[in-house]
Amino acid sequence: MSDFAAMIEASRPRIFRFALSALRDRDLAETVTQDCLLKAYRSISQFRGDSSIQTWLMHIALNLVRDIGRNRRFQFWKKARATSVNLDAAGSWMADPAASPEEQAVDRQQVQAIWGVVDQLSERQRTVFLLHFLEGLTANDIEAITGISRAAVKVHLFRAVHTIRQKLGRSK
Amino acid sequence: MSQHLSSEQISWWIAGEHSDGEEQHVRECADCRIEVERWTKVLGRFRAFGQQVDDRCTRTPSMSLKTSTWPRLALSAVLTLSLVAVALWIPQSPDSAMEEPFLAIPFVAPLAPYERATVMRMRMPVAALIAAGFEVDEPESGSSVTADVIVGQDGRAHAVRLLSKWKGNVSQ
Repeated sequence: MSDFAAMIEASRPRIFRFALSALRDRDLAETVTQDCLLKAYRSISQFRGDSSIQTWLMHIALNLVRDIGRNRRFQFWKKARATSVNLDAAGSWMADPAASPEEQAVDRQQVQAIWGVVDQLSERQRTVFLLHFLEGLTANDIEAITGISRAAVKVHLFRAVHTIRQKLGRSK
Repeated sequence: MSQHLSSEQISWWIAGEHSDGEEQHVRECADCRIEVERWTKVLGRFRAFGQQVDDRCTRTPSMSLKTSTWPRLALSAVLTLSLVAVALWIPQSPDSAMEEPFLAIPFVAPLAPYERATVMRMRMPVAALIAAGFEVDEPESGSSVTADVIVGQDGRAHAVRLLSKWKGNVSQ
């Protein structure tokens, strides 16, 4: 395997994480990840180096996620899948040994609540929010991946954050 | 800036946008600072959770024992003991190829924690190894080798270990 292929393979966790967060289905996320890597491997010659390999791969992954989202047959199927991942309850996975049981309970509640609201966001707001807060990508990276202008990325991010704060309540 | 930041300004801040004046206000105003820090912390936990999504969903079956139920553990123990017994029963030559590690097949999603796998011994054409993405140092691609193959529940091959004496060299 070449270095390029190794770099593609190293991106698997990030692609899988994004696909799982967006689709909420483990099998579909695995399919998207595999398709993405395969597509990247087959179109290595088309990679011009305009962006980083990570950005290029996430662009491919996002298109695959969107394709699935557009397919209404998948929508029905997805809801009936036994492999669906309930990310709303995913806070129960968290176990910070340094935190007290009370702090862990608060952490779990907050993460669960955020996932609940993320699901209600528009597709663009959700995508931008996940890419920024889950993957730590900058507005420039998100622009390159989604094709949404940098200014619009910031607005979507603001709206997503503001919606989450409104839904979850705020002290001010 | 003497007044507290508005809810929108706080959301913009969390989304990564703030002016110098707002920054100075947050430095001086405990209420606004607490609110900004609270949400920064909450979203930090959200991101930390994201890393756990990756760990939970992509790690190998052997690492998922902590989440297994007792019947699964018992079944695993019985299976392991059976494999050990079989391994002890089968006579092996000192230079047995069993010492060789399994090589993961490129671009195949790793086994999910809940997924069972089977090791199947078979004659494998060298051409199939090449098609699976391995670099094979073997001029005769028409030949075949004996190999152990880890096959997932869905029938996909995940890893291969060559057993027969073979002059060729295989790598990823």
